[in-house]
Amino acid sequence: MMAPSPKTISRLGAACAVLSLGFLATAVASIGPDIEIAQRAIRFSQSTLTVSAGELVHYHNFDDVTHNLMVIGSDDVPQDQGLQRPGATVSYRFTASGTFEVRCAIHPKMKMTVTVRD
Amino acid sequence: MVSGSVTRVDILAGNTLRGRAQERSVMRAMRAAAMSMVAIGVLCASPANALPSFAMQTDQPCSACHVGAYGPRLTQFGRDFKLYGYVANDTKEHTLPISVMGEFSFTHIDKDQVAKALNNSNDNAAVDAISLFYAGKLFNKVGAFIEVAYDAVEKSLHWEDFDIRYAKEFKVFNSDAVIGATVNNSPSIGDLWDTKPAWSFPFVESSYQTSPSAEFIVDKLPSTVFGAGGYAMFDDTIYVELDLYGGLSHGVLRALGTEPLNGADSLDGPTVYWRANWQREWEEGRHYVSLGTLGSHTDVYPGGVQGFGSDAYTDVGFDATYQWTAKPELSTSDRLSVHLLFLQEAADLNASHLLAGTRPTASLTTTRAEVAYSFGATYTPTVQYFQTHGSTDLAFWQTPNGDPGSNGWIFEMDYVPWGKPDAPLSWLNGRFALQYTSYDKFDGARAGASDNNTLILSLNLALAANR
Repeated sequence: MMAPSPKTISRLGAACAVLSLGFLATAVASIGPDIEIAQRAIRFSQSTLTVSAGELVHYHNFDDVTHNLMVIGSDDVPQDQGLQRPGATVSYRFTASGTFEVRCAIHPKMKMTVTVRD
Repeated sequence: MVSGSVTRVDILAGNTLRGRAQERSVMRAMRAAAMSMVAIGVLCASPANALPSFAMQTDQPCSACHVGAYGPRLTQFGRDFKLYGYVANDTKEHTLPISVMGEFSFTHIDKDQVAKALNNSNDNAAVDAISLFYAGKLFNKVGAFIEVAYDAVEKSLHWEDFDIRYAKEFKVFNSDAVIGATVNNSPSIGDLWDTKPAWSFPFVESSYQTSPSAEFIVDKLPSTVFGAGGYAMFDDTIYVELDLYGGLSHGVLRALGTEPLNGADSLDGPTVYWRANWQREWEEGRHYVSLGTLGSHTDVYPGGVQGFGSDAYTDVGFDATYQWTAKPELSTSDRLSVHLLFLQEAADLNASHLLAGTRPTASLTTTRAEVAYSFGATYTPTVQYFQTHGSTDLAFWQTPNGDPGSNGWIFEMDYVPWGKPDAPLSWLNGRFALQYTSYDKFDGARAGASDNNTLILSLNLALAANR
């Protein structure tokens, strides 16, 4: 059996590198950079947020009281993420495009609008 | 309270009314007035406070809603909770939001009073009231704050606070708005700013303390009227409210355990109550300011006697609130709370002038300024200066010289060990309070005013039945 030529090895190596980069890029694109939102003084650190579909948003409760996280889409049906004790973090991945309202059921003025792009 | 409110039943005892039937009527009215004075005293003695059923419904400590971890003085979240109709919740299923509250006091007055069947001449200890509340969500966006109180001194049951409200969010000119409706039995019961009259300081009172006689009509209407209104908060900045009330018949009031206004008065047409406020927060809620105005108009048949016209009372007031929170992310943060109130009443005494020879008009003005500082939502000292003055009228005010004026200071220290995130029991809260009222002038007289100086030691316990 003939040993592969250095040129062939180089080509295979390049192909593997390209494939690896491709997989990595795909993986990164599907996860996206995480976004951090603080819940402090009974308000969100941002009142509006724009993310790409698939991005993960972390909500950190810096208050000494319990919060709740509700994600409300165009169907107007709240997705209750449950209670969030002081110091706790709740993460939510926005997978579908559209406009969402994120609220705390306990603190009615605590709300933010999240726009999710494809 | 030992001394009561201005009772225009006295008007009926004037020279205008004659005849045995009328005298019997006067005696009945006077008895009713005496009962009403006690009832009003009890009503005033129990401004509703932090209710653990709200805490259970929202999974929040009392300190989230109340300065000093005990009501009624509200934080911004407390105001929001009320604005949105008592329905905010932790999305869990709970049993009915029932709370029970007990009020206990010991009262010492500088000068001994006249001993009566129900009290010693001084140093009276009392179970002032035991109250039962429905306080929380009724259904959907409808919430309720309803109180039935047992007066353990008079041994009588009566309705007290009643407020059912609905609130919903809207967009108005692209800005957020909360619009609500309320059905209630007390002008200002829905107030968010703890100024007048349902929620104003002092929050600790006892059944046996002395109090100045002169009161504003808007202070005397609670539980004697029933009405409805609407309110709106625009862009979390501008608040407006308008309510209309009708007087309940004397029979209905007695069935509810309450005496009519001044013992025998009845309303001539609806009472109008209005409120408008501007508010703003800075630095994530570290600073809060509110400036407001309020007022009411009430037409009254003194003694319930018709045919001589009616007396017209118009109250107009202005108030201001400033709150500073050291660490807005902590419900147990140190908080400063400053409240100012200026309230003026103008009365056209058309009927009383004819019936009892009062002057044709009367006026009453009060100014109050108070500062409270809550240390860690546990120790909360408050000091208030109050001054009331008005037109002199021997036939109208129940004071020795016809001057309704009183002024002085109130010092209060509250200790609230629970009601915070680290409290061992979230369904229980209590407040120990020591209060001293010092009068420079009492019922128009400076001489002997300090005889009415009053020391109250109070314990207030509240627990929730809902889980």
